[in-house]
Amino acid sequence: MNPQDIFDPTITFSQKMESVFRYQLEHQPVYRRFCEALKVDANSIPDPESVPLLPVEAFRDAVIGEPESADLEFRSSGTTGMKRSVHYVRDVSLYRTSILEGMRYFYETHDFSFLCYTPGYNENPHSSLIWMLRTLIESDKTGLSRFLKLNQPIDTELIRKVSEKSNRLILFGAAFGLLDLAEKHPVKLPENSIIIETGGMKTYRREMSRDDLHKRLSEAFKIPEKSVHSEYGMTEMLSQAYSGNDGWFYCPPWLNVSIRDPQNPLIQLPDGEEGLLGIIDLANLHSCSFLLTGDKGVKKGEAFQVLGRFEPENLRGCNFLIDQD
Amino acid sequence: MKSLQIILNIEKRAELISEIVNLWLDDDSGLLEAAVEKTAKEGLFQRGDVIFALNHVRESINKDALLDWFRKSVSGSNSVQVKDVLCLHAGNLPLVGFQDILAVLLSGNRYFGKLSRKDPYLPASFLQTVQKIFKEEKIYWSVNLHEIPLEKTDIVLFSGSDKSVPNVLDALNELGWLHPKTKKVIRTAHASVAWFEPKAGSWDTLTEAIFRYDGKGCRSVACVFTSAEPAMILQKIAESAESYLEENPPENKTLPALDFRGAYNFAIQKDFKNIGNLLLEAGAPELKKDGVVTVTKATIEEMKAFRQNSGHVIQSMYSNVDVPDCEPLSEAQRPPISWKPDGEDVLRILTNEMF
Repeated sequence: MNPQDIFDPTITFSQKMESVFRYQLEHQPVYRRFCEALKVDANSIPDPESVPLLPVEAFRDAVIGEPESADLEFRSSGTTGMKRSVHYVRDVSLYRTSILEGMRYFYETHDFSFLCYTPGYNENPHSSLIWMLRTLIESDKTGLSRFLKLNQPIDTELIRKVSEKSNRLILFGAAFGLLDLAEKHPVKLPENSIIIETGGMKTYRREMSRDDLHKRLSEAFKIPEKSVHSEYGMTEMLSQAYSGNDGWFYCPPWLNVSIRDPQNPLIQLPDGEEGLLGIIDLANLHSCSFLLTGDKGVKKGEAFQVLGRFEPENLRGCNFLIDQD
Repeated sequence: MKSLQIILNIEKRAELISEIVNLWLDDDSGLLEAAVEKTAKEGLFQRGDVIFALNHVRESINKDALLDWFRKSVSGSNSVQVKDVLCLHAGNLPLVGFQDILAVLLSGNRYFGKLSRKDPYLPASFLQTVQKIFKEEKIYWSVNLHEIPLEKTDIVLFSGSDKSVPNVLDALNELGWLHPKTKKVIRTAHASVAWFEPKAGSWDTLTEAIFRYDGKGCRSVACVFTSAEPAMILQKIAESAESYLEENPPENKTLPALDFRGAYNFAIQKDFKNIGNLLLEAGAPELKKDGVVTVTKATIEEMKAFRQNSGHVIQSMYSNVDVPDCEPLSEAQRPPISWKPDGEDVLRILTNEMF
């Protein structure tokens, strides 16, 4: 199949998914074995609601993708000695298109300059997030987009220059990195600016609700709370979902999110029921598009919420349950 | 004799309790058999597991064992202050709360028991036997919390998790049963681990330690550590489990989540076996997944470090060879009556400040 068909709006998601599914059954041995064990094959193409989703741990536990022909190699973050997920990206243009078209689906990107508060690319060449931000920075023809210096206030002169060019500003960074910036170096951003935070709400140092985080960012940077947005992505995905201030994420047309039953991940749960977040990311053409995350989520129509990590109920051992015993 | 609670002589009390246990097991009245039948007929537990539990009671409870437990646990002078003890019995195994019941009787305290809906008949048949012999014994039990005639409890015993414990305490507070000095004995350990030397044999013992009660007890082995290759261990366990499962066929099919995990293991080419209702797999030890038993190539020190790092989740460490700090693997599902859930001696707790 032509990889760029993934972004073609005239082809339905189901048609694209079917092509990707057949392609990956043929070219991705880990996913093929997974479907074989679940008795799913190319003769009975499942629909998006029941297609087998490979646990994302497979990127850590096995080789997904083609290392020998990879343009890029992304690795998940982690402590020294911990085994990390590795995502081999064969076709960098797919990732680039997914990033830029994905952002354009939700934002008028030609209007924006990007100030990114993360470590720079040279320090983290294996971070998919930082590669994505570099792509956004390079897409801005004004030359004003950049990675910000860490632990330094945002240059007010830079902010002024962005406004002079009649551009809007997107401040993009990891959730707690932006919080550190807000606490140590608050600054007034133009009112039409947007902040996009990404990443989990829990670190080894602290835990905070997304609402609290957005409130604090809004106060520190003097922009309306509704202008504080979120991005959902991971090393194992080449596409991103975005949400406004209300925590409901939306996907670009080549990305599908479902909620799967933790007791039987082949089953999709209805709207309103919490379960495991399942991803169909068609941009993952050369790795695996069909992923089961360890995140807990819930859906409402086309939108989904991320509710943290899923913790299994440990049914092992004695456990007096007031409503069952 | 009207009541065990007025018998101050511990030797006499231990003798009488062991006689009651034997009377109950001998079952001239058919009370126990009726309880076993109902339990099996309603699908609460496999008959084999119930018989195993009862056989273990017969083998482990006698006057000497009870006295030995008492003497190891209790010190101090002989003044008596009888306490109200509330036992909330989980129902994951048949007679899972039996040690608590005996501990309360042996300590001479008053027993208030919330029996589990998942195991209502077996403990009730024993308590009925006690009541028949000691008509004035202050023991009360029900499957309905609200039917228990308790005002305040001095001690409450139950097992739980981080999620379940707050709900239980809320319910007890709503009933007004807790007071500031109520001692709460909450067990949170969920699973056990074992060091296994294949050269020492005892595959049957390992099989029982893993598969008895469908692996649902906190004394069941969830992680096997060994110096041998996990693939070989998995194969030998599968062979040993064949005869075990013929005698103890699992009632239910494997959980879909385990089939899914098995498919994942096949995909990433990890060694694994579906045996009975459980999924046994080679790799890093894991305690959180219900129905999964891991086999890890490691050293004894690594197993102990895992136990240390897992904190309160691990109940026991076993071995089929002599290893310091490990219980014998043969006692995994056949512990002595004096074993200490979560490392705490329930009899010592019940008699503290009492004697």
